[in-house]
Amino acid sequence: MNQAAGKKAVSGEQLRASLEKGGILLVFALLFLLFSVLSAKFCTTANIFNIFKQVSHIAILAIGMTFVFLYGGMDLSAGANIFLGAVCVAAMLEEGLPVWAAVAVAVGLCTAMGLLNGIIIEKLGINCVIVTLGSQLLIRGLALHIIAEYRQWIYVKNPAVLYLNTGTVLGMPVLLLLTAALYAVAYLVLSRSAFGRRVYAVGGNERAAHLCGLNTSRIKMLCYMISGLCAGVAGIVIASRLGMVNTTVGIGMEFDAVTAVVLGGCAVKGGEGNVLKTFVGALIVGMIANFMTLSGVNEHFQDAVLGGFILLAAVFNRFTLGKND
Amino acid sequence: MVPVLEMQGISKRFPGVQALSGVDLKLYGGEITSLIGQNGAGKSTLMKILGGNYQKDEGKIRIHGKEVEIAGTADAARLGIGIVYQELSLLNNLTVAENIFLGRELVNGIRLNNREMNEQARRYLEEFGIDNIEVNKNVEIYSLAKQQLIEIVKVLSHRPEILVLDEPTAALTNEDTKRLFRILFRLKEQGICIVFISHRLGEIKRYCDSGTILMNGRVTASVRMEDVDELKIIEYMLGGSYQAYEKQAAAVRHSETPVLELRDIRLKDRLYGAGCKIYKGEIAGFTGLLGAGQDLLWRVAYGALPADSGEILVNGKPQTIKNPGQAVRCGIGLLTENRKEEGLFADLSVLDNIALPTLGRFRYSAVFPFLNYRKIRQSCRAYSDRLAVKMSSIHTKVQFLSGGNQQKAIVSRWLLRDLEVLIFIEPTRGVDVGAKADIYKILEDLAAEGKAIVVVSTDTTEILQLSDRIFVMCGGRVSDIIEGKSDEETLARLIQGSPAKCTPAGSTPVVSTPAEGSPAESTPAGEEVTT
Repeated sequence: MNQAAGKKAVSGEQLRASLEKGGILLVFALLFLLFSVLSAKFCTTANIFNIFKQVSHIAILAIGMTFVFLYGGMDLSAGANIFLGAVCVAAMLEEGLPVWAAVAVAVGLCTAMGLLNGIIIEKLGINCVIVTLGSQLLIRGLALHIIAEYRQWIYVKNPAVLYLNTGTVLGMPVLLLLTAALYAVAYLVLSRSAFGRRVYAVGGNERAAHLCGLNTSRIKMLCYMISGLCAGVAGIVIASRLGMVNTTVGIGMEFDAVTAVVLGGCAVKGGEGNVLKTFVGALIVGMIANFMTLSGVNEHFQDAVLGGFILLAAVFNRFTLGKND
Repeated sequence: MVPVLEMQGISKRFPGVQALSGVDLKLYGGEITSLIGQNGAGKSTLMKILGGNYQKDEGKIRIHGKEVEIAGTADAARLGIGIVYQELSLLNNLTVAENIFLGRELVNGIRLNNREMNEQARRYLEEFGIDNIEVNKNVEIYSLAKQQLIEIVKVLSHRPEILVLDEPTAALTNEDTKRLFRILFRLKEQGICIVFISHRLGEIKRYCDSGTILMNGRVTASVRMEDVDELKIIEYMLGGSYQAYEKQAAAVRHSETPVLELRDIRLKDRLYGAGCKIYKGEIAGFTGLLGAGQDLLWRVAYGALPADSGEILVNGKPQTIKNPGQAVRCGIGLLTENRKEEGLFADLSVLDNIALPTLGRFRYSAVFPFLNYRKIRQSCRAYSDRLAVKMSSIHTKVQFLSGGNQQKAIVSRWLLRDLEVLIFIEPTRGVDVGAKADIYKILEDLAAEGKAIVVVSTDTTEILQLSDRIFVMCGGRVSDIIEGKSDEETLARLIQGSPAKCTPAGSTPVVSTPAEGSPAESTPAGEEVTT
């Protein structure tokens, strides 16, 4: 083969491969540029930190969703679970529990809900969409029952919890650092731990994973537990951000998380995806919402615009990069 | 003479692989041309370009001397190209006639004209001399061999001028193959040009007129069948001289305690008290008719299927094996014939595929439980090098490896796990002649190292070549054990079995019906037991 031509073909292929790898980053960069040009207020340090803070609970929720997606499942109860986490931590503080105990109860309860999902799905062999659709109502009902005791509205006054929202370390918002740290751990677990690699294996070929001697049920149940755990942490984050918890918290948030995960390129059938790209997906969602608020888009119209952007991003991904998912 | 089809200088590149480079192929009317080559040589890619499934990067395609573009499957159909793919495209829940007319159903206004479709489908079947197939029955009731024929009729009903058959005989018995070729000869007389792809060189030599041989995406030779013998073809395929596999030495029995003993394994309507003892250092071959239970027995031993009763002893100690995880911990590994569904993680790297069941051993420490990938790489490389797995890098996705190399990657997986007993179900199915000899050599080496190797195969030649002891299964039990040399004829006789041996005590006799393919798959359990 002609050597020059061979080289050219290889570099073309490499370009394509790196585009495919970084496709979502490219979308992110383009949107960022676009918004910066359109709005003077967009590209300022304060606003960028603001975006990170606004999107942190979705980003954390999306970590758990990534685990579930990677094994090939779905967790529609995440939105209800984040509500349960927020209600729990607020109510426990209201009852005078110390912060660590309130956080432990909230995170523990949400993790238990995740485990419950996992057990019903795995041990009883029922489809994950149906199970989490049902458990979503169950969890939300439980949390509504708790919040009803407080006349549907709990203020968060604990300074430690509020610090999560307002505090900074070395000029960086605490929330940003927390989110980044959680993503770093999730990335390490998925790429460098036996459990993480097995999640990919189960998502890629469950039957082969079983025949390899892996305990596929346990792996899947752990994924749901992680989803529950993330919902718990995200619940505390949102309680801190809002300074109060009311009955509308968490509604539809499972779909925001799913959006972030899918934008990040996780395959719906499982086995493919990268948690860091989920973060970029979450940032895109946050960036679009932030831009619309800045430019004063009517609140009712925001959802439509967000949906439109997501479809555009998906189309962009599909046609420039030839990914067909 | 102008060829009916001419493909000239066809090149196709996939990420990381040059699948075809400058391939020429000429087909003449009234000829059966074979496309020959190892897995990964580019046969299927070339045919998928012809069928419009893939787009060529370079080259020209001419039909009757006129250049054509094939942008999609619809173009191919319009140009009179009909392709029967390796994987059947029949829909199990539709009838034979509905399958044949799929996508171009005959209608009366908006109502399907079932009567007319059935009538025409029947005529097609008659035309090609196929009987015993009812057009208004769902295709799932027919054996694989008959489904293959239905698929061919479906393609022929479009009246193609160029007919491509991609490994149509892989699932067929000799009898069915003969029948298929009677049909092909008739089509050949009508002037249709036929491309026949197969791994069975015997068939190719016997039935084809010419052959084009591919190696690594290039044509190494175009031959007339009367000018070459099988050995010559193999040399073209491998690009060098070839030595047929011959077993080196008989097994040395290392110990008197069997490493694995199965006792009285029972599975409803399938296994009636099967048992055996497997020793270190031997290759134990299991064979029998389809449905005789040889593969089920070993799936049970591996915990992939739950047995109704029976005992499993490992190194003389009884063990509970209810799932594959327990089997692996007992030192037993299984490689099934169904690599794609039951063995490989197509989207994961070769490294991940090899290391997956062994990952736990590569943690830094209990406190820092992350994996030491440098060590994993070294260990995986050690085994993949030993088995000579051909790949561009250990981080390549396993799906880009050829069938034989994928099989070697899975063997590496169990070697890394350091298991004592390795069970291979149909180890060389879908593997070409070069890789076959490699795999036989690997099995023999492993046995010589003291591993116990179980080979389950319906290919008697393979069983005779490899095994130190042959276990013949019949009616869900081990009916005969052959120690020492044997021959095809004896083995065939034992496989057919005598009613006395094949009738399990206290049950009705199981009648195997090889003509209808695998009774285990194609008929419900109750129907094979006759009274």
